[in-house]
Amino acid sequence: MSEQKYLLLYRNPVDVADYQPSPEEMQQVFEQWNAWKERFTGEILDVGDGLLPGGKVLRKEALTDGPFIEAKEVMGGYSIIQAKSWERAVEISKECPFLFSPGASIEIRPMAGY
Amino acid sequence: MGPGSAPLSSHWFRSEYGKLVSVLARRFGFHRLELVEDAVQNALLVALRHWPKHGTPDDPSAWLYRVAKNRLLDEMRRPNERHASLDDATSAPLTADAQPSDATFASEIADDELRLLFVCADEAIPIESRIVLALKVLSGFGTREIALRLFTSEENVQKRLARARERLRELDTSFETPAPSVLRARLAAVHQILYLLFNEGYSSMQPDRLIRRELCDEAIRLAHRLAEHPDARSPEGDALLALMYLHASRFDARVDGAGGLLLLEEQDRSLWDRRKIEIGLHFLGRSAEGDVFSRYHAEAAVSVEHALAPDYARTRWHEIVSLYEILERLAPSPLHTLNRAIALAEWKGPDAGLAVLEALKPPTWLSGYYLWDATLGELARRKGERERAIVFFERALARAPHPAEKALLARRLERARDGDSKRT
Repeated sequence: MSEQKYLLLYRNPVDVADYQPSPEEMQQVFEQWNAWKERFTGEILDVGDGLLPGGKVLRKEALTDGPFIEAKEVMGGYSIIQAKSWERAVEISKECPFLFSPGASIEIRPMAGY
Repeated sequence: MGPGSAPLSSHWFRSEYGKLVSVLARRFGFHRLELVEDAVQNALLVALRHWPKHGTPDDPSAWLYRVAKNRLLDEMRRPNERHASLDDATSAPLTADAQPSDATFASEIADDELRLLFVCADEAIPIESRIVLALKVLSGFGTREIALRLFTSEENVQKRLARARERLRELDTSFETPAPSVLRARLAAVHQILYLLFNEGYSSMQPDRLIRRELCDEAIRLAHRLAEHPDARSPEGDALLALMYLHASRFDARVDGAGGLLLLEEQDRSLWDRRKIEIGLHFLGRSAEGDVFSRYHAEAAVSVEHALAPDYARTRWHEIVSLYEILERLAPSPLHTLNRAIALAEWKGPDAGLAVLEALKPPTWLSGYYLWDATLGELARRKGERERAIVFFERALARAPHPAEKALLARRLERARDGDSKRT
């Protein structure tokens, strides 16, 4: 079975994007990320990165300030995984700690591999 | 996984938060406490995403320190910074940014944590704000966690914090090296914070036992810092620490298998933690060096009487009665009188106890307090006055604030009813 790469795009509702977790909560999330990475070793190619607030949108006509997706959500980060099947990709994503924060969603997109 | 990704000990983030805030607040000035907290919070947030990707660094504390400090410097360099600019005369020696060596760092942290504790006890900060501030900056709890632990709303916690911070912003930074006289003057307020913290854990209405225990552990940890420091230790502080250990020794024994509260006389004494009792005795011994006898001494002494009694019946009740008499003088409160009445009843019988309570004119908060009715009910039961006992216990039951106390009272009410049926 051939492997397919997927880009996981992490989204937060705007109102929780600046929620300040307590140190204890942060430790829990930290441990969840470590456990996720360990559990799917070989399939998580890049844990990815977070995205800072702000930024710009460039169109042919003009440069504008963000946000970019519809106002109720912000893009919080991304990861890249590799999976045997679409089902497996969903399985891996379901365990991703990012989902544990309220209202968060993950967009799973197969990468074209150009 | 990356190199050096050994799991961190539990509560590591939280305890690291307290240490880093202590060290950085001392270096950058306590008037910048809020800015320091933001920087430490930010460093932890960075670590939380950076470490799973790149592996936990070999020295995670030093890593966090560096990130937090750089963030702080960046913030302070920003023009129109609302706190204070770099060239303000009070700023800490910002050039001393070499990585501290492990050994000096460890002792520095202990000193800095103590220093921050003394800042939390500033007389200009309202008392109810002090404990909240200590839990936030020294114990690393979030506002929601503090609200849960102090049995209040998060909004209330935020208000209390805001009041403390308002005062801290005006603080002059001479606290950098506080004079011994300032330290001594503030020592009583520091003891009070620790005492309240411990009591919140030991006697609060918080149903979750782990959460309560955590508060007690925090109070003990900070009281140790105090007892270990040559300039901050005192007979009162040692007695306070003794008191905490002696109480904590019964932490497990005072709940039954189902989580219900057990009375002292119902507890299995073999479950009392002997090691904690020994540590308590050690500090109580130390607290006797000098000619001070504080309320903490008296309370610890009561606890010792219980800890060393072979069983409930053979407790030296006369000693306990006289200790409560001392407490009534040292820290007047009708609660001490209530406790004395209970001990006196054990020593001389229910009539003696009732006489004390009848002579006492209880303030309304006390006469409306469930323990007041529960005590009257128990003494009536012992006299064989079944009807009166039931009335008191029913009223206590209705007033008990929390399911655990309600369950305990329901049991005693049952006993009052049974006791009579056996007699007739």
